[in-house]
Amino acid sequence: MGITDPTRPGGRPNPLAKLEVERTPWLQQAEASDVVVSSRVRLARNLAGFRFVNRAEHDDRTAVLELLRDRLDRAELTPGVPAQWLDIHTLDRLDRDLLVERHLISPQHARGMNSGSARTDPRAVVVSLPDEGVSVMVNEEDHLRLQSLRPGLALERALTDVDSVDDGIEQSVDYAYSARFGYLTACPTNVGTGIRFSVMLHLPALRMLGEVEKVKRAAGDMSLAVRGFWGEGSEAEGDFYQLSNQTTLGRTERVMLDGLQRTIVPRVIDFERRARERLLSQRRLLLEDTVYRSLGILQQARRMTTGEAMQRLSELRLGGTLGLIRTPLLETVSQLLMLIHPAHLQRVTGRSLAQDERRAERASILRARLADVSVAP
Amino acid sequence: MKCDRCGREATIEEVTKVGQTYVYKHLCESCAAGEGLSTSGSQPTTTTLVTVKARAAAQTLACPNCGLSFAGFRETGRLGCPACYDAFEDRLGPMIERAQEGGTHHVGKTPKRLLASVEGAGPERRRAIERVLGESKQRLEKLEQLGRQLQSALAGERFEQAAIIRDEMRRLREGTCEPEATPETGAGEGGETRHGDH
Ligand SMILES: [Zn+2]
Ligand SMILES: [Zn+2]
Repeated sequence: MGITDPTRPGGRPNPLAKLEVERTPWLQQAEASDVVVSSRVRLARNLAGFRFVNRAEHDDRTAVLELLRDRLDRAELTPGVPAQWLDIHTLDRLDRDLLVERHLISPQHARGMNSGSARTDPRAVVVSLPDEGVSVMVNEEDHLRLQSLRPGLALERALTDVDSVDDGIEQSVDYAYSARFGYLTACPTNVGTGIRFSVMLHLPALRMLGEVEKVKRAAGDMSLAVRGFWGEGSEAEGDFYQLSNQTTLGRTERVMLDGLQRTIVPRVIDFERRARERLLSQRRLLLEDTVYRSLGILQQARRMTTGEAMQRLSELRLGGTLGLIRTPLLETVSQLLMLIHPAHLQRVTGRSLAQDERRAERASILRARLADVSVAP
Repeated sequence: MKCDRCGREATIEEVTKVGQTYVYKHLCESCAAGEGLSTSGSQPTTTTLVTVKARAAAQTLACPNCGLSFAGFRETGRLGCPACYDAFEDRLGPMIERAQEGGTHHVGKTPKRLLASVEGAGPERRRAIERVLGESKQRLEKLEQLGRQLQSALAGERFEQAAIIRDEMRRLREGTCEPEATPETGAGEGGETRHGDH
């Protein structure tokens, strides 16, 4: 891959050349994506006979990395697509950030275990590109973190994908496993199935009507966690909320999946859709003012923070689902949710940008991409 | 540790479960005898006696494989290696049960190669594998079935039925060879290991 760009010192080749910066697969339109942005399933696994990552010496972590490189480099995480192995410790800061924004690695994986160890901790991610449907983090908190991330409501598909990759890996390695505790993980909160299901929900109408708390309470009653766009420790940004299971022991993967997709998820979808209808029929002026005000700002602003852009795009997305705006499609608005983030912005413009420049560039990209949007007649 | 009643060196700790919290009392042998408590014989089920010596031993507990102490685990919330689960099982069990909202045993996926190797294995190897696999297969099937019933009860808002199914699932999870969990002496010290997604 001889592709170079000016943000890379010395014009080095781009290890992420196959990643389509402009298009995030999990932000495409899919089933129920008016409310459910994406579905994710992840499995935590460790190798038998090795210490967990946090207690392993550098050499042991390198041994695990090399063993898994041997098994996973070019493995077909998606049938017919050889996956790409990326050594995180050799990537530029910007590429690491790009992978975090993309939800392909965790912020912790980008940073490394200790401060200052970002360029030394031996760790990797294996990604099937360009579809990005399945990825595997190596030497994060556990030796292996398998993930499937799909657009819309697709937990079933994500589980099937991640399950078969898990079977594939298990052909050639021994997992740490016990009869009582199941798959053994560094943190006992993940022990058992090692599974986490999450759905990313877009709940702008419930937020406008002050009813998000009800969703949080219902989720709490079912022992589910509600987190923001960036997962752990993040606040809801732009009305995006992630709903996920907190327990991993004592219930099968299937029972957990059913619990999410037969009860709470359809209820929240229904709840949000009704709230949108209520806004249309009873609070139309508030709704139109919110959507069109955001449209005006997105089309005219000269500087914008990430947080504001997320909020404005969220409101535009709401307008899009309710037919208040004409073209572009919801898809364009959804894709912008990723492009406005710092690493993406710098990759798209091909320049490294200071914070102030990013705000100007962000506003400029939004103006350009949303120039054709008009108010529905 | 001093005796709560006379100030001499305490050798016995009484742990009483009151609601969701544990109440501790420290006594020397003679005061304990005076209260009708002893480390032998049967006690009311809500009270457990722990000798202070045994507790101290638990605090210096370490994994023979990676050397992580139990106290070290409590600090970081991270175990050091797969063998830590065996080394700390007695103390970890109740902690995990709380963090996992009652979950005590794994049900669900089992490594396929492990399962496959049961077939065609010699009797000794087979026993070894089954020790690792446990009885999870049968429990799994029954729990799967109950889980489906529970979800449909919840979806139909038949909460009484759901409660009955839940109890049955709990019995099934606990109705194995597990000894009764001893109270986690650090209960309520903020030793919970939950800290969200990683
Ligand atoms: Zn005394
Ligand atoms: Zn250990």
